[in-house]
Order: sequence, then structure tokens, then C-alpha cells
Amino acid sequence: MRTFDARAWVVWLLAGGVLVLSARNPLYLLLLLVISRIVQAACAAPDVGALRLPFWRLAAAILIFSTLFNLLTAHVGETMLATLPAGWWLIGGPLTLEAAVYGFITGLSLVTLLSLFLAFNAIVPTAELAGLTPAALYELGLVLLVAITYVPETARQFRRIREAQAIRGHRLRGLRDWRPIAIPLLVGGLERALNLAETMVARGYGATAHVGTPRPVRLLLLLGLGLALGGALRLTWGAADGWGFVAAGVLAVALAYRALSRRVARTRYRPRRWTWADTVVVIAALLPLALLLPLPGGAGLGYAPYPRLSAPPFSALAGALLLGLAAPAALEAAS
Amino acid sequence: MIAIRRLTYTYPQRSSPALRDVTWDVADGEFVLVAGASGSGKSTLLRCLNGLVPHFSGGVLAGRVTVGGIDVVAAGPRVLSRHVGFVAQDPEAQAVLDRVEGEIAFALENAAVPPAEMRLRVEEALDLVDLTPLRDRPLHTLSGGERQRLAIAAALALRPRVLALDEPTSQLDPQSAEDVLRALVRLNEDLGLTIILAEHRLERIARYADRLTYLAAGRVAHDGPVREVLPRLPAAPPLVQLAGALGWRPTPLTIKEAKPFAAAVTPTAAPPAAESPAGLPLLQVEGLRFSYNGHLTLKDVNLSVAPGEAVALVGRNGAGKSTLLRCIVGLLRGQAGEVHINGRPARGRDVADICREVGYLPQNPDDLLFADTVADEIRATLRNHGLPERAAEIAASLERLNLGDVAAVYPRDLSVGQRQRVALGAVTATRPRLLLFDEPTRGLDRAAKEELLALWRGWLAEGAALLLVTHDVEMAAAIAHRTVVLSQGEVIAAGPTRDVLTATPHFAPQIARLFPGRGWLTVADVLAALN
Amino acid sequence: MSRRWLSAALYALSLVVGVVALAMPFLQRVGAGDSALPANQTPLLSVVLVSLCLAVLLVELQGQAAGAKTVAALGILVATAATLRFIEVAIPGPGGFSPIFAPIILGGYVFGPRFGFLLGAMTMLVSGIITAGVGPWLPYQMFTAGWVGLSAGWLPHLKQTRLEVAMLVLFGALWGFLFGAIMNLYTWPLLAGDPGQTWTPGAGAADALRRYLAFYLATSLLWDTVAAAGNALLLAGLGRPTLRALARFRDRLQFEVRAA
Repeated sequence: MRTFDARAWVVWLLAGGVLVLSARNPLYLLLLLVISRIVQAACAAPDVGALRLPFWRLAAAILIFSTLFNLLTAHVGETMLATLPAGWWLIGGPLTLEAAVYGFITGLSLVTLLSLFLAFNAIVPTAELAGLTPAALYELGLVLLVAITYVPETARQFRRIREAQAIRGHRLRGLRDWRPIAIPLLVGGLERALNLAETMVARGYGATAHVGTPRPVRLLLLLGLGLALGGALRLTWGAADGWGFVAAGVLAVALAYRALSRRVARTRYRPRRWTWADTVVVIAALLPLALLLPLPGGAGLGYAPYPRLSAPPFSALAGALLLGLAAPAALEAAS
Repeated sequence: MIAIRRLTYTYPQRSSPALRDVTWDVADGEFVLVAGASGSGKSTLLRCLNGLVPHFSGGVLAGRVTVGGIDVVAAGPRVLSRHVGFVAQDPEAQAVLDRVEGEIAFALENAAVPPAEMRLRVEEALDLVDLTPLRDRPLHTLSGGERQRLAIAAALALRPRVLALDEPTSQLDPQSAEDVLRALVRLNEDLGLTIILAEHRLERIARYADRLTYLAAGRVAHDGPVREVLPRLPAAPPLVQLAGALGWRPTPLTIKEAKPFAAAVTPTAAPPAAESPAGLPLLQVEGLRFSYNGHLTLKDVNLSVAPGEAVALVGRNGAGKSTLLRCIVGLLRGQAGEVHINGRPARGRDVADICREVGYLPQNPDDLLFADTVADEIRATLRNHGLPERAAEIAASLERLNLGDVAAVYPRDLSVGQRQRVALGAVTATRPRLLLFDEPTRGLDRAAKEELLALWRGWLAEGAALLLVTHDVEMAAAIAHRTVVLSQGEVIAAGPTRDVLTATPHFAPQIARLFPGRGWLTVADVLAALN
Repeated sequence: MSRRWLSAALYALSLVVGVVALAMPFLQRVGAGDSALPANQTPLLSVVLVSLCLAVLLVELQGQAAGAKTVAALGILVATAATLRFIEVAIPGPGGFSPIFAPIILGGYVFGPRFGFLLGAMTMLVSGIITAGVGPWLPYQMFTAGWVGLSAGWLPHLKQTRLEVAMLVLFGALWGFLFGAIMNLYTWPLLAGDPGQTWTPGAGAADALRRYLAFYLATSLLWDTVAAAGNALLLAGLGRPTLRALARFRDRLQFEVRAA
């Protein structure tokens, strides 16, 4: 079984997510939904996690809610289905087919987004997910790894303490009965934290905090936030150049991260090798994003049923480009 | 290699120092055992070697510590991590990452070792402690012994010249402990690594060590070759005690060395006949069967314990000993068979109900402690059972557990032995006559063990029944009337302790192995027979 | 001196950006008429902004909390809180109730705002990872839970335990509602924020608010009430002993090395 680099999966997820958020054309959304399901089926290890969201039930609930909600609250469109008395608070007015369809499309986009994330969760193993922390956040990455190491330990501890309390006649009836379980769990955990910290120090991890982030880096962070805020406000006031500001803000923060990660004098054991297949996945995912989004109207990704319902357009080229997101499944099948 | 000069150290917010005026040297390649009761300063001394004290613990330090010429206090733990490897007591609290390889690489990553060299060093460290087959395993699938060996490997990754270990085997069963100790001996003999080991179990490791340092109240009380120091210690292994009593010189450290002396011993009196109290059993287990995930862990187990009787339950790890205890108190439900407590069937009663008549002390007494004071712990149990909380009775039972003067103290501030007695008080607040113990002597020093033994003897005299699950055969020999051996869920031997323990070499105490066929188990047995 | 100002500026600006990101669907109507940001770009902009805030805050806070004790204590407390989430997912309680906030509030209160923010954010991250619940909502959860812990650290430390617990109970209930409302603001533009009528003249902020109200009533009010009540109950029942246990460790976790 071929496994792709976790970073390649992140690109895949982000590209897919942006496409889903930009698309309102139900045909393309449906295509992306099918692709994400296929990719999950092809690439997920069969034994990952006993806990899975009941996806199809959740999807149905979202679609129904979204359709009904829009039908009842958006009283626009020309194909009248029924009319509720105008006096009914919030929902009174004409009910239209267009509103229902639009609600359904909104629901579909959320379901597709969810499906992409679900595939990502199922495919990328926890350990690699934790390994994605940028070098600038080394300490927090370590917190993450420690937490993941101690979750099974804590769960075992929890069962043990529950048993230990049961044999002194303890029964779980009310909220206060959680105290004999919560306190040993917490105190035991904190005692362990001290032991663990000692072990980390003994193995060469810094015993005391650094002085903090250097000043230029913090100024860069501040600048990034400022730019992003300005961009967002410009966008809401209808200036299209706002995205440029937001992008500059993101860039500034990225530069700050880069500067910080240079300061981290640590090496990594067995860094994962980037393969040509990872490159293919990344390019195939970015291609539709780069080619479709800048086109006016997102090359037909957008669609609105108002004022009167019409069939959504479908371009074979856009469809073919979107298929690029299925590259992991294709490579998987080929290997 | 190590030179300590006039070291005095006090922890923050403590009035008396943990180490007083210690001057101590260790040569390159030496294997030094550090012994002493709990709280004697063993752990503190070890932590001075890599700068954890005072850099991690705070407090006030006077004197000078150097390792390989480096001033420890000035250099700090980060520099020292390349010179002194450190392994702590609790195998569950010294893993940073969740994979075996990654855990070993952690120290190397911190030291920015280039990836290519890192591969090599991880390989080497895995090899040194025999963990290569487990390299890809997630940590939570490892046993305690394996985790401890992993901790050693992780400490070795930076290629230190000194390895300091703080009671690394106190939480392990004998087999795992043996594996860990064997790994240490190999490291010392093959690599010439300097090893400083704080340890309670002296009998297994004594013969490999060059030197023994005994600490008492923060001072070096005895220091010298093992053979010379060991006989002077209050907590010497039975063999050494016997050698002292009978004047064997030089002191034998192994059964093999003691055999020539033993051959000359001729008993003047026959071993005392074993008497086992009779009476209606307080606990009766009949044909108990338990399987978990289709795996049979208890197969038709029969067992009974009478009033005034102590029964030891021994067996390897995974033999089903703890499972049996949990079945008795109802935490697990057997698929077949009956458990009778005080003549009443336990079937259909819930755990809380059963535990009114049974006191069960699980392996980790800290799991029980949650209240603000020792007395509150006892009260909590009484409240659970809906019993009256009479102050006089609580005070009396604390007095009996030798906890009278700490009744108002926060339980977690007490020593291991005291904490265990608080937990014992909590599970016996209903004054049950049947008492079950799971590894009661784990992590206890000699004084705490003696105290526990005295407590048990008192209870037995009043007609209580004890069932002890233990790996500590010396303890079983000292108290148990009968012994039951469990193997893969089956009772493979049962009978008077004297017969069972002398018949199964694996569980025989030192004295029994020294005098096979004589029926002696303890030093007292031998001395009684000679008089 | 300027260090503190810079720090304060970073907190403040990230809070403003976060609020703007969440209020995007409303601002958008206030700001513009016909030339408004296309509705389908709102969620994208919002998630970019929140992620940015989070990235800035995490790096700013990490620089001040990087010692081994903090890392170990955070790691294990996060594991403990995340395990609670695990229990919650495995045994679904009444809707909206989550035992995850009480430890974040208590941790933030005892160990301070920085620790609190990291505790909240990392707990959400870890519980997302272990329950396979990484989704587009994760940055919002991390950001908001971080503010839960951060703001708990700003609460005054009262002498009288009874008052202290009462304050925390109130605080927990408040955050129960607030967290729900914020997470709602995030789902809102995705699920129902845009009725698809931006071309209709006069569809402004009032209309958006009216729809949001309907959305809130339909999806959250009951849910959030349960969440708030759950937080309050947990803090009332377990707050006092937990505070005491945490406080015992405060000195051992946070001390500076002194020369002998």
C-alpha cells in the first residue's frame, strides 16, 4: 500500500476545501463529494479508529435542515410552492422552490467539506498528523506528542481508579461521586508530569523557558495581523483588492514562522522522504485551484437558482480538472 | 569519574537537609549500589549527578559535585545529559513520545545529532538492551520491564559514561526486574559503563556490584566493597543474615558460594510441624472459570481461606492472580463456578456490597486517595457504605495502622508505606474479616514491610483471613500458612507454604534453595533448628 | 516595558481580527450594498483570519511557556482533558454537555492566562485528533477554547473559597452560552448565512440578524443551555477539590532556579 506524505495530504485537503467553499454549482459539488469518498475508500487503512462519525446520517441531517431552513426563511424566487401567513414570526411569507434548492446546495457544500475532512482524518495516521507541527512551534508540537502518548495511559488510569473506588463501596450516582475519580486522576497526572519533565530535562531538553520570541518577529506578527484585518475590512466594504492585503498578512506571519524555525537547533529522526508521487498529488490538487478560481465567476463553479430555477451549467474541462483531486486514489490503484 | 565534596542540599520549603555533608567518589567503570531506607537521600544523591538537583528541584545546595571534571551545578542538566544517563523509578512516567524508536531519538534530536548518525545510535541503543524486535511498537503495548529497558536505551543514546538509575525495578515483577538488572550488568561488563544503581532488591544484584554505599538520614553511613558492607546492613538479604548469624567468612553472596558452608550445617532439631488454622472458611472459591476475549484466564480454580489463616497466591505475570482477586470482589464476573464469602454466595451482589465484607487493597494505593486528610479517607468509605462515622472508632483504627499522628495530614504528602496504610485503612473501614492484597510489598522498604507484617500478625490473631497475591516469596515464607501456585489460570500446586515453596525451585526463597529438602524457609527456621 | 506593550497589542489585535472573522456575515451587510463580498467567499475569509490569529497567538505564547515542566504539565493535562472528551464521544450525554471546559477554566485560573490559552487550544486540537474529528471547525474551536482558558486566567483570585467557586460557576455558565454562540457564528455562513438574495436591494444587516436569530433558536439555544448548565454543575461539584489539587502543584511547576 502506498502512503503519501502527510504534507501532501494537507495540500490536497486545503485545495479541496477552497474549491468546495468557492463552488455553488451542485454538479461540481457532487463530483467533489464522490471523489473524496473514493479517495477515502482507496487510501484509508482499514483499521483506523473505532470512532467514526456516522457520515451518511449526518449528511442527511444537514441536507434536510439546510433545505428546510432556507425554504422557511428566504422568501425569494419565482416558483411559489405555498404561502405561510405573513403574521408568523420569522417564517411567514411565500415558500419557493428556488429557496429550497439553494438551501439544499448550501447543505451539499457543507457535506462535501465534511467528507473531505473525514477522508483526511481516516487516511493520515495520528502520529504523522502530530508530526506536521511547524518547526517554529516545536514546544507545542512536543506538548501535542506528549498528550497523544498519555491519552491511552490516562484512559487506563481512569478505569483503574474507578475500580479502586468501587471496592471501597463507591457508586457513581451523582455529580459529587465523580470527585473520588477526578482527583486521583488529576493529581496522579500532575505527579507524572513532574516525573516526565524530569526525564525530559535529563535527556537534554531545556529546563527553563526561553526569554521569548524576538522583537522583530513579533513586530512581523503584528504587521501580519494588521494587514489581514485591513484586507478583511476592505473586502466587506466591497473592495476586491482586499484579498491582496489578506495574502500579504498571511505572508508576513509565514515569514515570522520561518525566522523562528531557523532558531530551532534540533534535528529530526527519520524525516519522511518526499517522493515523486507526493509531488503528483500536490500538483494535481493545486491545478484546478490555480486554473479555475481566477476565471470570472469561477468558471461556472458558482451558480444561483434565483430568480427562477435553471439547470446548472457543466463544463467538461472544469470537471476534468477537478478529477485531479482523485489523483491519490488513481496512484494507489496503479501501485 | 565522579567526585562529590562536602555536599549538603535542602529541598525548598523543607527545614532539614536531604543530604548532609556527603563526600563520595566513584571511579571510572565502577558498578555502585546505593542502598538505604525510603527518604534516606538515595534519589537526591542520584539527581545531584546530572544537575536535576538543584536546577530542576530548586532548594539550597552547598558543596561541589563534578562528573568527569565538569562542575555539575555550574554546567546544568542540559550539558550533563551527554555525560550522565538517568533512569527514574516509574516506567509509566518517563516516556515522552509514543513509539519505541522515537523515544530513543528524543535525546538525540535535542542535541541536534545529524540524522545519519542518529540512525546509527538508535540502532546501537536498541541493541544494547535487546529491544530491536520491538522497535516499531507503540509504547502502550510494552510491559513495565520493556518500558524500563527502553528508558535505559533512551538514556544511553547520548553515549553517556555514567548511568544513574533510581530504583528502576521497584515497580516491576521479578522476571522483568531480572531482565533489567541483567541488561545493566552487561553494560557494565562489556562497555565499562559506570553504573550507579539505587535499589531495594540487593540479593539479585549484589554479586555483580563492586561497591555498596548505604545512606541513612542523608549521610553516607557505610561505604565499601559489597561483601564487607552488606553484613552490616539492617536490610541484608536472608543469605547474608544467615552468614552473619553463623559466622561464615567471607560472606557468600550467591547460593553457590554458600553451598560449602551449608554442607557443614547439621540440624539438631526437626523442623516444626506446620499448623494451619481450621474452621469454616471465610472465603471459598469453587470451580471458578473466567475468560476474556475468548482467552481462558482462570480454569476451574478452587481455593479456600479459613479465619486466622494467611494464604499466599504466587505465580508468574499473567498467571491470573489479579484476575482471581477481581473475580472474588465482583469487579469481574466468572462465567462458571461459585464464590462464597462468609458462607454466603457472592453471585448477584454488586462490588460495593461485597466489599463491605471484604477488604481489597489493589496494587496502586494512590488510586484510592482523594480526600484532604487521612481521617477523611476513612470517613469517605464509611459514608459510601452508609455507616455511622464515629470519631473515636476512626481514631482507634488510625492508631492501629500507626497513622495516629498524621490523621490531619494530606495523604499524598506521606511516604509510600504510610500511603499504603492509609489506603488499607480506607478499604478496611467496615472491619471486614477477609482481606485481599495485590502485591502489597511492591516499592516498600524493609521498615515498611516489617510494619505491614506486624499489622497482619495482629489481624490474624483476631481471626481475620488473608489472601496475598505476591511475587515476594520471602514475605510469603514469613507469614503464609498455605501457598497456592497459579500457572496459566490453573492451580498447579497448593498446600502448606513449607511444602509448596520448597518443592517449586522457581518460587523458593534463598534459604530453601540453600538447604533443599530440609523444609527451612527463613533465617529464623534455620536458627531455630540449630538450637 | 515595550515587550509588554507588544504582547498586549498582539493579544488585542488578534482578538479584534477574531471578532471580525466571526462577525463577517453581518459586517458584510452593513458595509456594502451591491458590491459586497461574494457570499461564498465569506467562510473562506473567516477561516483564513481565525487561523492567522491562532498562528500568531500560539507562537507568541509558546515563547513564554517553553520550559520542560510547562511542556510536561500541559501535555498531561491536555491528555487528561482530551480523555474526558473521549468518554463524552463514547457515552453521549445530554446534547451540548461537554466535560472538557471545566478543566480548561480551572487550569487557566490556577496557572494563569498563557497556560490557559495553550491548555484550551491544545486540548481542542488533541481531542480533535484522537476522536478523528479534525474539521474546518478546528481553528475556531482552538481559538475560542484558548480564550476560555485565557480569560479564566484574568479572573481575580478571591480569598474566600465559596465566592471563588461561585465566580467560576458563573464564568463557566457564561462561556457555555458564548462558546455555543461563537461556534454557531462559524457554522452560520456555511450552513445558512447566505439566503442567496444578495442581489435583492435592501437585504441588510437587520435581515441577516433576523435570520441568525431563527438559526440560533433552531440549532443552539437548547444545546447551549445544556452546555452552560453542565459547566456550572461540574465547576460547582468538583471545582473546590480540583482547585486545591492544582494549587498544590503550582509552586512545584512554576519556580525559578536560584543560586545556592
